[in-house]
Amino acid sequence: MVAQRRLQPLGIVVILGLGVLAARLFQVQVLEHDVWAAQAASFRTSSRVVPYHRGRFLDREGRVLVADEDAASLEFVYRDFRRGHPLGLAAHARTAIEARPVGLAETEPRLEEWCRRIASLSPASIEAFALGHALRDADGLELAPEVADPEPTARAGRAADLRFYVAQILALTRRESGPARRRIEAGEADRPWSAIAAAVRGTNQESVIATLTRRAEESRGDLRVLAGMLDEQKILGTGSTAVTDPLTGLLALFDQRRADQEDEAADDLFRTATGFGPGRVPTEALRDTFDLAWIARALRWDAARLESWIATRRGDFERELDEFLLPRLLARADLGESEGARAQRLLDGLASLWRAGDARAADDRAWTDLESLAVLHESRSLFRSARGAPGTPADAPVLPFQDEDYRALAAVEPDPWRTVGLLFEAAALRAGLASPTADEIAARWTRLSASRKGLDGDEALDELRRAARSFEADFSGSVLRTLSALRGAAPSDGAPPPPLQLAEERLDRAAQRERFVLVDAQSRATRLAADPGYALVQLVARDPERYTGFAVRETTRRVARVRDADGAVAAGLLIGGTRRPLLRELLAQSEDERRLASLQYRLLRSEEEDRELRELSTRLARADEWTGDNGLESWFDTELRGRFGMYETEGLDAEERGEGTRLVPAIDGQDVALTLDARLQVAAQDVLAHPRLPATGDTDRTWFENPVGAIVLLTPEGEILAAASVPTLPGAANVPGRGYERSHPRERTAQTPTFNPPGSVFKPFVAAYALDRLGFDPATRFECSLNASNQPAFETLRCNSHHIESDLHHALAVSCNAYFAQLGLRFQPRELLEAAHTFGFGEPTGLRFDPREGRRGLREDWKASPDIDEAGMLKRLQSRFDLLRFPNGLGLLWASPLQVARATAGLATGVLPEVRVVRAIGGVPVAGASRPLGISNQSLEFVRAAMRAVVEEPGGSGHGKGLDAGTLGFTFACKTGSADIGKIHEVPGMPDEDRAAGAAGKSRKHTWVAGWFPAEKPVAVVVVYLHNLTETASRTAVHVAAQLLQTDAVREFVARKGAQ
Amino acid sequence: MSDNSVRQGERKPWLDRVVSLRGVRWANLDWHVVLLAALLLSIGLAFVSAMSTADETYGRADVRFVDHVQKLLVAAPAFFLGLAARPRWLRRNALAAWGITIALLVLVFVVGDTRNGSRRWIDLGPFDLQPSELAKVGVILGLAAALDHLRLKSLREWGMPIAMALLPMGLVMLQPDLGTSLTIVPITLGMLYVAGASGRLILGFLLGALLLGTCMWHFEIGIRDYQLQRIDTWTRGWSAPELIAERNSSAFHTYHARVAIGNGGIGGEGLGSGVANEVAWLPERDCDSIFAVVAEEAGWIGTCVILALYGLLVLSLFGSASGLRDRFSRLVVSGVGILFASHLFIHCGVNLGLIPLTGLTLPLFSTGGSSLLATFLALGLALGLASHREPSLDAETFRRT
Repeated sequence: MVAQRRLQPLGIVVILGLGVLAARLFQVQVLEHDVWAAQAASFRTSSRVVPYHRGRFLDREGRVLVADEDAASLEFVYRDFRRGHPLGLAAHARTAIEARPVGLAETEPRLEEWCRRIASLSPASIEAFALGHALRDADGLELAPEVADPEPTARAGRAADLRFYVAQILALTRRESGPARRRIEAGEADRPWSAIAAAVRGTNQESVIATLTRRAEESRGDLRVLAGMLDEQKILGTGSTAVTDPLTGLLALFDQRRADQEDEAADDLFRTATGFGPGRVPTEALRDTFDLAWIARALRWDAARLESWIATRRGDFERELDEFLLPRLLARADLGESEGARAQRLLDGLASLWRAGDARAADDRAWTDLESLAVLHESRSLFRSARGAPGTPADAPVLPFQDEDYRALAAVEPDPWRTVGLLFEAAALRAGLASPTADEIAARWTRLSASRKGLDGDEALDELRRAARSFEADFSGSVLRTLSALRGAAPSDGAPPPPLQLAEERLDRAAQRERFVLVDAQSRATRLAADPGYALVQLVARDPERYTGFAVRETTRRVARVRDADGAVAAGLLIGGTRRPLLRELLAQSEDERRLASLQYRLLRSEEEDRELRELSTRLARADEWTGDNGLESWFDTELRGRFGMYETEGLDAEERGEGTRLVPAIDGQDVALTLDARLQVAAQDVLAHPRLPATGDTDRTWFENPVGAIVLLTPEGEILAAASVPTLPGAANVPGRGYERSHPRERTAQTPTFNPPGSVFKPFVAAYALDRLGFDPATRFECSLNASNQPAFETLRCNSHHIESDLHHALAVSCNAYFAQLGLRFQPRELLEAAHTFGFGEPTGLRFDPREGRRGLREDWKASPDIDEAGMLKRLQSRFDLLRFPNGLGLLWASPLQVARATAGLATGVLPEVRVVRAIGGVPVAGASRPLGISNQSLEFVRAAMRAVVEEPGGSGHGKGLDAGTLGFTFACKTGSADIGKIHEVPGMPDEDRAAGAAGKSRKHTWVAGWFPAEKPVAVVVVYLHNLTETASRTAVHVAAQLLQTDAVREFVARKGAQ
Repeated sequence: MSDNSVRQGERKPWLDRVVSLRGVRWANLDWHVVLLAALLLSIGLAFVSAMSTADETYGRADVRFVDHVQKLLVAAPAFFLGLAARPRWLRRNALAAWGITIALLVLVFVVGDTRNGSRRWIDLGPFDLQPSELAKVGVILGLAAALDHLRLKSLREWGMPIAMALLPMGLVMLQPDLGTSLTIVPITLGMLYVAGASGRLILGFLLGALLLGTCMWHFEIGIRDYQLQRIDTWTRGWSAPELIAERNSSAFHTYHARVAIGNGGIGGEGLGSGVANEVAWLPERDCDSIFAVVAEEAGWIGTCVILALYGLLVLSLFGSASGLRDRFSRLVVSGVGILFASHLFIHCGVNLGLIPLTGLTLPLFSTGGSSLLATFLALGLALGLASHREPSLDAETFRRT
C-alpha cells in the first residue's frame, strides 16, 4: 500500500512523459512532415540541371540574329571515378591498405597487378586486418604490417573501405552480394574473394581474374584515348611543361583534384572541431600546437600528406582573403547608398573577418559589436588538457575595433571616412607597420568612394589589402602568444612540448560529419572542358560505363547567326553580349535569397507568400547562369531569361534498380523581335567598315583606310532598320592626330562619346521652323561675301564656298553657312532652342523603351549638351558668336545619328516618331508612338524640295556623287553637313595628308548625310555620320551614303516596299 | 522441505549462496515483463538487421547484425545471472557491488582505452567493457542498500545516498560521458522518492537545479563554451528553418535526426527503407540515434505503439515493485524501472529536440555490448527479486513507512 502510494505518482509521471513524447512526435512527424520529407528527398535525389535557352533576337522578317545553341561540357566527379573506375578502385584500395594517399599516377603502371592482388584477398584476411593483424595477399606478400592497437590507425574503417573496393573491382552486383555473403558465413571466409565470386557466378577463378585483368587493361586504354583527345584540345596543358604524355598529365590533374578535395574536407573537419579555419592560425602554431592525427586518420593520410596540408593552409587563407573575402567586402560596401553607409559597411565587413565564427559567412553585425575574436574566443575550451594558461582573458581587446575610445570617437565623428582612417592607422601602428596618417587615409577613401568606379576597383582593393594586413598582423601575434601559452613550457630535455589534443566534444562533433564531408567534397563536379567537341562528347556519352566518373553535361552557348564580311555580329554593338553574374550582383540579391530560403521552409504559406516565392525563384540569378552584360541583352535580360529545369533521380540505387528519372522541363526565355532588317544591317556594317575610296580622289584617304562612324536606317514611322557603328572589333590601331576612337568599338548611333555637332544637316529644321513659326519669306536673299582674308564668310563664320547671294532654297541646296548665320539673327535665342526641340533634339528618341522599370545596359546620349543646361545655352546664345553658329548646327548643340534620323523622319512625314528597335516581346507586339511636328505641310514641302535639289540641282552639295535616281534606281532627298570640331595639330607620326590639310588651314570635322528615299514617298530615312575627318561631307559622307544606297540590300528593300 | 533447503548444519556451496537457478521462483516470475522485454528486443533486432542489410546494399560496414547478435549472446547470461542472484546475498553485498563498479570506474582511468579523446572502455580482448553502463546498476544496488535502512526524515539522512550517487556520477563525467552521468540523477531522485523522501523536497530541488542551471547558462558561469554552444544549438533547433540553416555546422546531428523522424510521417517509410539507412548520414544511428531510425521507419502510429510497449514495461516493473514487501527488493526493482524510463525519455527527448544533444542508448534497441550487458543484468535482477515475494520477517515489515 505504502509502496503503491509512492510508485503511483512515478507511474503517472511516466504516462505524462509518454504523452509529451507522443505529442512532440506528432508535431514533427505529422505537422512538419512536408518540410522534413523534402529535406530527406534532397538527400537521396541526385539532380542534374537542364539548361534553358535564352530568348532569341529576331529581325523584322523573323530571321534569327542571336540565339542559344545546345552545347555540352565535359565534367568529372572524383567520387564516381573512385568508386567505379578500376584505376580509382585500385588506388583507393591501396590507400586503405597502406594508410597513405596512393595516387592514380603511382598505381597506373601496375594497375592489372594491383587489381589481381586486391581480388586475391580473402574476407578472413581483411577481417584480421581490421583487428590489427598483418595483411597478406594470396602469394603471402605482406601488404600491411601487424599493429598492436588497430584503433589509432582506424583499421576497422580501412577494412570496411577495402571490402567495398574488392567487391567493386570484382564487379559484384547486388544480386551476387547476397550469395557471396552467405558463402562467407558458411565457412568460405578463408578463400580469396575472386574464388568466392567465381563460385557465385558458376565459373572458375582464372576466368574471374582474366575478366578483371582485361577490364583493367581496357580502362587504361580508354583513359589514354580520352587523355589524347583532351590534349588535342589543349585542355591538359602538356607539351610546354615537363609532362609530355597526355595520360600522365590527365592522372596528375585527377590526383591534384583529389588532393584539393581532401584538403577541403580536412579544412571542414578542422573547422567543425575548432570553430575556425586552419588558415586563421600561423603555420607553425598549427603544426606545433594541434594534435592533428585524427584528421590524418579520417582521411587515410600519412605524415607527409598531413604536413603538406598543414604547410598550405595559411597560404590558402591569405589567397582567399585577397581574392574573395576582401573583394566581396568591397562589393558589399559599394552597395551602400551614402558615404556613411559605405564607410560603415566597410568597417563592419572588415571586423567580421576576425569575429568568432565563419569568416566566409555574411555578417551584418556592426564593428562596434565586435567582442569575441576567432581562435582566441575558442581557445578557452579548445583542448582537452592545456598545459598552460594564456596570460590575458580570451576576450580581452586585441584589435582597434574593440577599443572603447575608438568606438566613442566613431559615434561623434562627422566624417565617416575619418573613422576608417583612425582605425586603419591604429591597426598599422599596433602591428609596427608604417602608415599614412588617419587624415590621409580618409582622404584616399573619400576620393575612391566618390570616383566613377566607386569602391569596386583595384585601387580600393589595394588600400583594403594594406589595412587588412595590419589587422591580421596584430591578430596573429595574439593568437601565437595564446596558443604558445596553452601549449606550455618545453620539457626539461629540451624537446618541444608535444601538441595538444582537442576536447572530446569537439572531436565528437567532427566525427559526426566525417563521412558526409568527404562525400560532399568529392561529389562536386569539376569541369574538364567547356566546349569539348563532338568526338569527345560521343566518346563519353556512348559508353558511360567505360568512363566512370566522366559525364557530359548539357549546356548552351550564345551564337550570332548573322555576321558581316569581317565576321562581326550584325548589330552586335546594339544587341550586346552576355556574361556570368558579377559578385556585386549576387551580393545585392543575397537579402532576397535569404527571404526565398525562409519562404521555402515555412510550413504554412499565404497566397501572397506563394506568389512571392514563385517570383523570387524566377528572378534570382544563379552564379552559373548567363546574364545580359550590355546592350539589348542586358536591357531585356528579364524577358530573355528562362528557368532551369531538372533531371531528378530519386534513390541512391535508382540506376541499378533501372528506375527512371523525373524531368522538370526547362522554360525557355522569351524571344525579342527587333525592327532591324538583317540584310540592311549587314550592308550598312560592310559599307562602313570597308568604304571604297571615291574615284575622284579628293577625299580624306586616311579616314577611308581607318573608318570611324555610324549609319542609321529608319522607317518613317521610327522603326530602326539598321544601326551600324564602326569599328566593331577591338584591336585597331589609332591614327596619330585622329584621337582614340579607332581602338574603341562602341555603339555610335545612340551614343556621342565626343563633341558631336550635327553641322549643316541641322539647317533644314531651322528653315522649316523659320518658314512656319517666324513667317520667314523664303525669297529673302542674303549675301555670302569674302572677308578680309579673301575667304567666304559672314562676320566670324566661314562658309564652304563663295555663294555671293542666295535665297532659302539655294542656301539649303548649296549649304550656305553665311545665309543661315543671317537667318539665325532673325531668331530669338529661345526660338532657336525651340526649333531644335520641335524636331526632337535635346530629348530621348524613344530607343530605351522600358515596359518595366529598373533596366540597365542600353545607353543613349540625348541631351542637347552634356555640359550645359538649357539656361546656360540661352545665356550662350546671347553672344553673336554662338548665335551665328547655332542655326548651322555648330558650336553648342550635340546630336546623335539617331536623333538626326528621327528629326529627318519628322521632316519627311510631318510626324515626329518615337524611335523603336523592338517590334514584339514574346510574341506580344510593342506599340509605337509619335506626335505631329506642328509645322505646316507647305513649309515642310518647301524644305523637302530644297533637299531634293541637294542631289538633283547642279551646285547642290550632293549632286553628281552617285545619289541621283539614275544611279540608285530611286529618288533621294538629303542634306549634307560638315561640323568643325577643332584644328589640325601637328603630332609625331601623323599622316602626310593630315599635315598638308593642316597647313592648308583645314580643320577637323564630322561629316553627315541625312535624307530619305524615295524622295516623293519615303520608305526609309538614312543618316550617315563619319567621325573626325579633314574633308567636307561632299567629299566623304556623300560617297559613303552613295555606296550604301547602291547596295542590293537597299535596292531590294525599296523594291519590296514599293510593291506593297 | 524446499528444493533449496539443506540439511541442518550443512552450509550451501558458495556459488549456490550467490546464484541459483533452482532458487528462481519460476511460478512467480512476472512473465508479462519477460514477454514485453522479449518483444521489444525482437523489434530492436529487426531494426538492427534492417540497418545491417541496408549497409550491405550501399557498401558500408557501420552496422553488422552478426556482431550485434554476438554481443547479445555474450550479454544474455547476465540476465540469468541477475535472475538467479540470491536476494539475501544481494542485499548483503549490494554495497560491495557498488564498490566494485566504483573500482571499475577508477580502473578505466588507469588501464582504459582512449578513443577520440575520451577514456571509457576497458579492453577485455573479445569485448570492450564500458564500466559507466554497469555503474548504473551499481548505483541502483548501492542506493537500495543504503536506503534500506534510512527513512529520510531529516536532511542529514540524505547525505549518504546522495554521496553514493554523486561519486559514480562524478567519475563518469570525468571520462567524459555526460549522457550516462545524467541518467544517474533521475535514478537517484526516483529511488529517494520511493524510499520515502518528501516529494515536495525533490520537486523543490529539481526546480532549484533548473533555476540554477538557467542562471548559469544565461550569465555563462561555470559552463564551458561547447556546452553553451550545445544549448544554443538546441534552442535554435526548435525552429525548422533555423535548424535547416545550421545543418552543416553544430546542428548536424540534430538536423539529421529531425529529418529522419519527420520523414516518417504517419505510417512510416518501412523497415530498412528510411533515408537514415539509405544515406547513413545520421551519426550513431544504431545506438544513440536509433529512435530516429525507428520513428522514420515505423511512422507515428508504429512509434507510439513501441513507446506504449516500453511504457508498459516500465509500469509493469513499477507494478512488480509495488507488490514487494521487502524494501531492498522494492527499491531495486523500482530503480530498474526508473533506469529504463530515464533512458527512454532522455534518448527520445534528445532525438526529438526536447533535450540538448547528449549521447545515450535505448535499452533493448541500441547496439553496444556494455549497454546490453547492463540492461540484461538489470532486468534479470529486477525479475529475479520480484519473483521472490517472500514474506519478510524483519522488523521492517511491521513498521509504518
